[in-house]
Amino acid sequence: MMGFLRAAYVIGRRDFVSSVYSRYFIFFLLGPLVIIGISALIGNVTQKVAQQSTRTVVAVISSQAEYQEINQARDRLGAAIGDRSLPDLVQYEPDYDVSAQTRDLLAAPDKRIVAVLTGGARAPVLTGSVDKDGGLRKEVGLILDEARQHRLLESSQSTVSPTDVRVVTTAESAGALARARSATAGAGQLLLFFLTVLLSGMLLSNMLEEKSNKVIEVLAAAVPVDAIFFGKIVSMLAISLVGVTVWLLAAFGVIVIWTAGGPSLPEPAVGWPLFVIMLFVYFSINYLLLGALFLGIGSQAASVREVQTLSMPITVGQMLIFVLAQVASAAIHSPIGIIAAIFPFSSPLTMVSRAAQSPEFWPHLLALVWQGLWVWIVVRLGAGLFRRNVLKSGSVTARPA
Amino acid sequence: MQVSPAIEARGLVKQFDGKRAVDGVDLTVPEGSIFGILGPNGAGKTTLLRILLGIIDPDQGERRLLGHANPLEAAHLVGYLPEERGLYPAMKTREAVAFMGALRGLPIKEGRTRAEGLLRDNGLGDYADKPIKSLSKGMAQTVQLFGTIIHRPRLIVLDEPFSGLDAINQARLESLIRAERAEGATIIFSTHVIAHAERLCEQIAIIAGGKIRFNGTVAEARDRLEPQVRLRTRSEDGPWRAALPATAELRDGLWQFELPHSGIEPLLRALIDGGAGIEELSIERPGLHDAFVAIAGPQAAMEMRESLGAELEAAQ
Repeated sequence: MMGFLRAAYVIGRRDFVSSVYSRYFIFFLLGPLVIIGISALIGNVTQKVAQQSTRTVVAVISSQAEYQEINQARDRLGAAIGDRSLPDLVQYEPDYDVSAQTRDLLAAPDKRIVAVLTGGARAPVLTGSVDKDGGLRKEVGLILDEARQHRLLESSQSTVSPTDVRVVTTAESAGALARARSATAGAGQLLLFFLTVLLSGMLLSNMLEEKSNKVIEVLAAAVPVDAIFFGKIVSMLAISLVGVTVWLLAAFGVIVIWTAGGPSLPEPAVGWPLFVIMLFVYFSINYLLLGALFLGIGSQAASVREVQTLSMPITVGQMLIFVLAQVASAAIHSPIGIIAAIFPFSSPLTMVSRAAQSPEFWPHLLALVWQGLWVWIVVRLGAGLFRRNVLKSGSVTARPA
Repeated sequence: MQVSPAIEARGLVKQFDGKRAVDGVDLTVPEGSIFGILGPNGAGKTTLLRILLGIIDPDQGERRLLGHANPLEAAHLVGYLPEERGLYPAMKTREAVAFMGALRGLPIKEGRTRAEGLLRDNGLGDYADKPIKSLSKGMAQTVQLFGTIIHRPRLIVLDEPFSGLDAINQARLESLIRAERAEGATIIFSTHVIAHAERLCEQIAIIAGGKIRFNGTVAEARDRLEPQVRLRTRSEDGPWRAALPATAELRDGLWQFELPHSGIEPLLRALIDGGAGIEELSIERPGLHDAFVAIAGPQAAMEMRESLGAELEAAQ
């Protein structure tokens, strides 16, 4: 066993050093950061544009005084139920022909007016592409009711002070907690999935270097092929963890700066420190599992073209596993939840979701042993296939060396 | 105390596409010897070496490498230079040699120190920090050879080690093989160049069509053939002709035939008494090439010559 680990270390060390000390590694580190930065920038800009372009605008044809009443009513309601829940109002002085003015306003492309309110609060008419029982009619009605009630109270010189609703805060409610943890579970799964998809694909072409340089003959004569495979996937995991650590630190820094205080995700069931450790552990085991599979498949390929051809079905397979894990995440104790936790390739994603939703720790120990066993099995299978089909060991249909 | 052989193989069979690349090979390589495997391209030399090293498993038969049934268990005692040379192009020369030692269990620091010494002693010291891709083909081959011996193995396996080397590097390699032998290592190498085997080997195996046709010392191989007599006479004909064996051939005025079993003295007497008028007479011990032709057949010998010719052409 020591010999095996020593051999795997020698292979892994070579791969790690040649990758991390290569000048191209900086591009590996910067690539995702640049993508995240550009996406955040574009997202921010497009969000602002989208916010502006998706606001509902209602033109109010009325006198300035009447408009003030209506708009103040809108502002009062907006403060209570949210400004975005109500349409924006724009005032227009009435023309001689209000019907024609209404038509012109609705037809003007630069004004983005959805409907026109005429008749004030007493005899309101809403003209435009509006459903009779739709939300906009109700929202405008609510604003006008508030305006009328306010005027009545003012005219009767009576005031109604706002109702003081007493709030009793509980630590948590079952429904809110489940919903919050479900969100954390989803975020954990997504992070794990994207990082694995982004990084494990590199292992598909990992053996091509050794095969094209004929180094594989030297390696295979010195150490077991299993050790070569194991060393390679562990070194690629180490390289990926360097990247992940840099990216997460950068992302954390950006979030802290932008949100002035840090992220506020709902706390997972096992607590934040353990959950973060589990994220790293499950990412590692997920990477080793898929990496061993990809390395095994990729090592059979004779050229870059063959590797490229293999990439697409493998990505589809990963998507299916992700879908299974997501379905399982919604009901971790259901049969599908248990199946997804047992199926080796969906197990890490499912167990991350479980860590967010359930405080039990022992299933994780069991799962890690199970997943570790499968890493070993997949490495052994991949190495066996490599010996058989590439090194031509065993009776196969192949040309003599 | 009986010394166990470095390599022992019994009944090795390896089949590809229904064709036997190695066909019932028995082989014993004594510890401390230089052992050559001779055969034309495609004879099964590389496949045999790969089986012996444990890179591939045989379909039938068994092998022991330095006493280990699983050759990889003895990997730290073995050095292997494959026929198709392979190094990581971006790796520094010193690191490449140390890495190959580390694969065989030599600590990386010790490997670096030894690599530094080997490179310096062989005129490659200036290249220690240069990447492999900056070396010439011959230099890279030498570097790989250093990687093969860096961990001071007990058994060194070289597959076509002279292939692609110029005359100077071939001579250097021969010296290195002898030096390793003097240090007590066993060296086994495959070649299709008989001259190398003849100069270096104490024992050889001749392989053709996947079968071992001969296994023994170079002297034993030569002894398969009788010494060759070359005779030039003043007389063209006479009673002396009766002393020549029926297989004697006259080429450019020179009679050539195997020395009769009765020896040289009766032949000489008959030639003198028969009035041959001996102008020139020599008795030559057959070379390994003659023995190879006799053992492996003229077809295999022709293939050897062809592959050597192609290699020389490629080198030019």
